[in-house]
Amino acid sequence: MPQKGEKMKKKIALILTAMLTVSLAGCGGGNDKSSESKKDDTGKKAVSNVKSPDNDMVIAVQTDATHLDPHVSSNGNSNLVTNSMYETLLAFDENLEIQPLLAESWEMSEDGLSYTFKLREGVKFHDGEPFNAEAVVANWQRGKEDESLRLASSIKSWVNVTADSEYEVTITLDEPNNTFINKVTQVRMVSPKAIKEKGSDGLAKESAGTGPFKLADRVDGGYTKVVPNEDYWGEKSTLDSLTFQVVPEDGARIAMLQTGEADIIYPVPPIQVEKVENDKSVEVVNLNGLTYRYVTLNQNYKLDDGRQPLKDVKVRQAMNYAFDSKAYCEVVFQGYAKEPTSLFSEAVPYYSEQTPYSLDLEKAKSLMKEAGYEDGFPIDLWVDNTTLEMQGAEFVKQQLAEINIEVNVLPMESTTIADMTSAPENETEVEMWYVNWSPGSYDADGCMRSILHTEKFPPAGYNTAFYSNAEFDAALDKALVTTDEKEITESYAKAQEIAWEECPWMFLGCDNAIIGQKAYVTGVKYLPGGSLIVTNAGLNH
Amino acid sequence: MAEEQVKKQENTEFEKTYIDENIQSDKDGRFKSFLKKFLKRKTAVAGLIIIFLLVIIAIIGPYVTPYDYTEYDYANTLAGPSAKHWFGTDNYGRDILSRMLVGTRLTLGVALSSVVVGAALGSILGLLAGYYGGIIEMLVMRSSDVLFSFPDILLAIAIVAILGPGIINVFIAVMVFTVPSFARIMRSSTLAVKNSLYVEVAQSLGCNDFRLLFVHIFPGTIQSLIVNFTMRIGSAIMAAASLSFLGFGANVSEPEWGAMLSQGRSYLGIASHMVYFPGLIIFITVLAFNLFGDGLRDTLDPKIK
Repeated sequence: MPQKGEKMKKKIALILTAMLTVSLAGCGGGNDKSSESKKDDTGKKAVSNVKSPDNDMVIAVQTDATHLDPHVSSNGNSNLVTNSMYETLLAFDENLEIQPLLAESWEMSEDGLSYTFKLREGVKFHDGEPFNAEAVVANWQRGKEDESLRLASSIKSWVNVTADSEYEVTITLDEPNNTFINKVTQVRMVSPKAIKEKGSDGLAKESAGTGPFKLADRVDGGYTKVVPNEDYWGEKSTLDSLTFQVVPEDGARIAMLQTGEADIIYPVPPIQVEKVENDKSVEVVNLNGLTYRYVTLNQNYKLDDGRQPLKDVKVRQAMNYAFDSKAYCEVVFQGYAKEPTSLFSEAVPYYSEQTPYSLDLEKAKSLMKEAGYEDGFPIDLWVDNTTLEMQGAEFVKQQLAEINIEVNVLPMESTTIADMTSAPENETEVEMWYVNWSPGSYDADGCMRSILHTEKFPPAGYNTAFYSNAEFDAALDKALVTTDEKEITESYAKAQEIAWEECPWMFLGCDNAIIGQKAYVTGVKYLPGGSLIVTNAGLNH
Repeated sequence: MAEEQVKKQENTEFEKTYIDENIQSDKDGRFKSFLKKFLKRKTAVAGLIIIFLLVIIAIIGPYVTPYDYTEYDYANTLAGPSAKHWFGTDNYGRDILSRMLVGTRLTLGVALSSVVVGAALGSILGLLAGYYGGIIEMLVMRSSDVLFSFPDILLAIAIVAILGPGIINVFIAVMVFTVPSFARIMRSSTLAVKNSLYVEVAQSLGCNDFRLLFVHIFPGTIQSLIVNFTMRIGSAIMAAASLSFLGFGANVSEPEWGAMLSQGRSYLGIASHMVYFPGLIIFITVLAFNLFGDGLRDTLDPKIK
């Protein structure tokens, strides 16, 4: 027995030594770090001639589509999947220009209250029904009748929709609305027959759109597989199939791209970009981000002694002066992010550049002193408990420590945070919230209203800064009902200027959307913020 | 009445003079032979030395760090080991060596304190269960069985999920899953010792339950207790680190080893030193405690010469 034990121990010692050696060897590669900027545009390098082994495209995404009924869901990945099967009257192209899709052209009445669309002829839904003016009316009616649908909010301002002729439809609004056209790009057309007979549950099993792909197979939380639509009105897809595969783990997604199991992955975590870029068969697409990151500062936050530091604009400005957004982009996003120069991404129309709050500790300290808080104060910071979010929150904590603000980072489950931040003003416990916002329809109103307008205090919206400025609200409201381009631009510029000066948030940055694709992928178009247009997707094989 | 009192006193005296003295006189010799046996086990001695060093680091660590453990340097992030930063820097440019030195106290503190408290609670419950039997035994052992039916780490996650994340709650979670194993070991040892001759003698001499339990029975069970104790510290460190790794434990900004490992995980591809050093120290620490515990068990086992 003892002898056997001795032998075992020798063996264990040997294995341990081997392990140590291996890990020490692995350690050697630790300090290579490229410092030159690798920021903009797609990765350019010698493209290899590797061809795709098959004609089935796989796109690996982080989270699943929540529902395949395009009128129900609205989150980014749901849109990605449903956009392959459903189409809208108008759509954004990769330059964020509005392009006709199911409509061939459109006209606005002089008072800005009605829009007439001339529809494309000869388009059929997957179930064989024709696409015409009546179909548009039926889709509008669905949204009117069921308030719970996401569609309902997109068509809220549509008072009436009339079929003027088979291929001409007029949409009437209650008041002029400059975001109308943007919202039209979110209304996906579903076969009226399917709406009536199948409902949401049926649409989750069988698609009924006009898009280039039809639903073939789906496993909730696993994948959604679509196949080309033989009767598509436009150029038909050359693929055999297209699969949206859900792969939550970053490392697994990267590995799938490298082995060719996936042809496109989204997103690529910033720290992995370098690793992927070294792979000749892979292209990295680095897009301007729409995701704007900020920390809301609840102005009602009370210290134990009753003082309300965040009520003072000087304190809020000091917090922004103390924050080094340049370092933030480097440290948290490896440089794949932009410093904030306004309240939203520069990719969104009506963006107006503001003077950045560059790091200036002296100024921050003197502002704190003027406000009577040179000794700082303690405050809680809520954050999602995902790696990237927590890293960012930790960074905020380090920066604010420089002006004696003692931040307590509280990571929480995202659903818990969503719950807790929807509490109304007199009940809420939120002090600071590390969060981000990205507008689905690329409009300036969508970038500001829900998170800064007085009418959007929780639970109506996400204004957890409880920021309320009549002038700002008026500027937003005015822009919305104006039709004159110049006036709209001025109004939005004014709104941005006011909020930038008043600092309802700590402005952090705007991270890029990074996509990885195999070199043999063709025809996929990318929109800022990471949306994909797969209509013309192909594989070189 | 008076007669009885006198008798009792005599008994106690007898106990003192004979039993205690016998043990006392034997103790030196026993310790010497124990030491001799223990020193023969080189791996166990190595384990003990490492534990000793770790404890010293835990005590003086925070005072000898080359840098402040919260001091960031954004110009020098993810730098590999160098003369300036022996263990390199993390994603905020903080010195990893300094963080680990400070974190030693945190990590060892949580593991040690939770096992000490858990062992104390478990031992008392086990002693009572083994000695009294009946309803107490049933209650203690069946609830231990319930806790045993969950894997340790799962139980800890469940507890932390209920209590919320935080280092104190990790302490409670690890303590809770430490209790049943000590209760079970103590009960079985108590049952064995309870029926031994010297206990019967003490009992017949009129010792009260308290004295019997803690003076006579407890020392007889201490061997198995010590071994389990050292082994448990290893798994407690693992559990605490795992919880922090999963985001249930220490706050992200705290230099707890598991939290550091978790933080470094996303940089594995480009800065492996961020996981290498915390991972290595957790590995060495757990190994040291296990080797020491192993050696201790072999030494104390009279069947192994």
